[in-house]
Amino acid sequence: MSTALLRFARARAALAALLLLALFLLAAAAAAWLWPIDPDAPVAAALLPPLADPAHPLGTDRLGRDLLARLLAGARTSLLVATGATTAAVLVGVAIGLFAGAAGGLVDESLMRLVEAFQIVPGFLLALALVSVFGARLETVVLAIAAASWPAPARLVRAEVAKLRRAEFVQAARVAGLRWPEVALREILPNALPPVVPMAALTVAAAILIEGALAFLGLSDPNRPSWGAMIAEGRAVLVSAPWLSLLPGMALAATVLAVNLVGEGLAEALAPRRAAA
Amino acid sequence: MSAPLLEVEDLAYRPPGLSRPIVEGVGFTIGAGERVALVGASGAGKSTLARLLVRLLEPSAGRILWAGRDLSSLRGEALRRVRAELQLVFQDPLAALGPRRRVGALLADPLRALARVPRAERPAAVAGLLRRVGLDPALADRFPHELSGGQRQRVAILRALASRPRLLVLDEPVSALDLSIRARILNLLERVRAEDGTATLLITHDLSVVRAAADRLLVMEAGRIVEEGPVGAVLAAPRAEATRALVAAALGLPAPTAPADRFPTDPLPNDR
Repeated sequence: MSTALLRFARARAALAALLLLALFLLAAAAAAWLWPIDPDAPVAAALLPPLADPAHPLGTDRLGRDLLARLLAGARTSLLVATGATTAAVLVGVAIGLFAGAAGGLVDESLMRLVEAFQIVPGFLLALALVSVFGARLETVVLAIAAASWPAPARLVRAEVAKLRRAEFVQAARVAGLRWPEVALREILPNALPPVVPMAALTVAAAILIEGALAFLGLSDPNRPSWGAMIAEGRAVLVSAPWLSLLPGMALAATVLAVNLVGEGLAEALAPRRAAA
Repeated sequence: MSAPLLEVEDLAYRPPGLSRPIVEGVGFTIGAGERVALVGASGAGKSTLARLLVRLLEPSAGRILWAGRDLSSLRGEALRRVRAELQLVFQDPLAALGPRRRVGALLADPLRALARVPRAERPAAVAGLLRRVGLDPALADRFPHELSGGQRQRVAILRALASRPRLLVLDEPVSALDLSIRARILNLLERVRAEDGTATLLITHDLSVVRAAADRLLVMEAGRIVEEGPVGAVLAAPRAEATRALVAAALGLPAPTAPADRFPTDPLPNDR
C-alpha cells in the first residue's frame, strides 16, 4: 500500500516536472513571440526591481536590459547546449559501448581503458580544459560537455551488451544465419537501450549545470545570454539587487530538478517492463 | 543405414577455466532422414553437445564432419551454408526468440540469411511458414511474449525449418510445454519429417518422447556416450547404469541400486 502510494506520488512528481519542462522548452522556443523584447538592448532604467514596472515585470539589469527577455534567452542557451551535448554524448557512448561489448576481447579492453581515461578527469574540469583550449563558442561548449559525458552511457551499454551477448536469443540469431553486426543492431541494441533513457535525462541535468558553471566563469559563448553568465553578472550587485542572481539561479535549479525527476520517472516506468520481457 | 549426414569423431569440450571436460570422447553418426534421440540426466552434457554440433561452441578436440566436410574449418559464408542444412531448436522458446522483435522479423531472418528468399517474397514466405504449422499468419505482427507456450515453440521450430534443413537438432523441444501441447508439437515434427525427409536428433530426458519420436537412441552420462542402439532394444534391456536409471525413473521406480546380496560391480561412486 505504502509503496504503491509512493509510486503514485513519484509518478505525479515526474508528471509535474515534465509539464514544467515542457513549459520551459516552449517559452525558450517561442521567446520571440511571447516576449518580443531584445534581450541584449538597454530598454529601460538600470537595476529596475521586479514588479516595479509592468513593462518589465522582472526588472532590468545593470545595463537596463530586460531580465525576463534575458531569462528566456538564457533558457534557450542552456537547453540547447544541454540537449545537444547529451545527444552527442549518448550517440557516441552507445556506439562505443555496443561495439566494445559485442566485439569483446582486446577491442573491448582497450576501449574500456579509453573510457576510464576520460572518467578519471572530473567532467567539469575536462569541459573547462577543452573550452579554454578551443575557445568559448557555443559549439565548443557543446562538444566539451559531450566529451565529458559520453563515458557513462558507454559503460552502461557495454555492461548490458556483455550480458546480452550470452543470451540464448543471441545464439539463436547466430544459428539463424545473422552476422555479428546484424545480431548487435537487431537483437542486442534494442534490449540494451532502456536503461540508457533515464541516464540520458540525468546527463541533460548535469550538462545544464556544467554549462551554467562554465558561463559563470565566463567561458561560455559571450554573445549569448546564459543563466550561468547572468548569475555571474549579478554577483557584483548581489546586496543591492539580489534578484539579478536569484532569478536565473532559481530557473537553473528548477530545470535541473525537473529533468532529474523526469529521469527518475522514466527509470521507474521502464524497470517493470524490462523485468517482464 | 543411408550415407551419414553427420559424423562426430572423438569430440571433446572443456570450457576455459574448468578442469573437467563437459563433453569427452563423443562419437556417433546420423544418416539422412534418421530419427535419433539423445537422452541423459541433467548435466550430462546434452545441450553442450547440441551447441557444439551447430558450432555455437568451439570443440577442444575431435572432429565434426558434415556431409564429409570438417565443420571446424568453416567460417562466414561457408558456415552459413552448413547452418542452412543443420539447424538447432532451443529448449526455451521464450529465451530463444528476441524479446523486442516481432514474429515476422524473427522468421524472416533465416529466410533472408540462410534460404536467400528475396525481400519481396519474404512476407508471403513467413505467412506460408506460419500456416504450415497451423498458426494464424496475423501472428507475424506479434511479439514472442504475446504468444502461448505452444505457439512460441512452433515459431521457434519454424525458424529452424525456414531454410529446409537436412538435420534438425532439437534440444528438449517439449519439456517446457504442457502435456496436451507436447503431443501436437511431436506430431508436427513427424509431419515435417514426412514432408521434408528431415533427419532429427532429439535431445530429451523423457523416454515416452523417445519411443514416439526416435528409432535409434544415444545415452549420455558425464559427457560421454555410454550406450547406443535401436530404441526398443536399448529400453528393453538397458546395459549402462545411466540408461537403467532413466528407464527406472520413467516407470516411477527408485533408481536401481546394487542388491544387498550382490557385490557392487561398479567401482565408481554412484552419484545418482
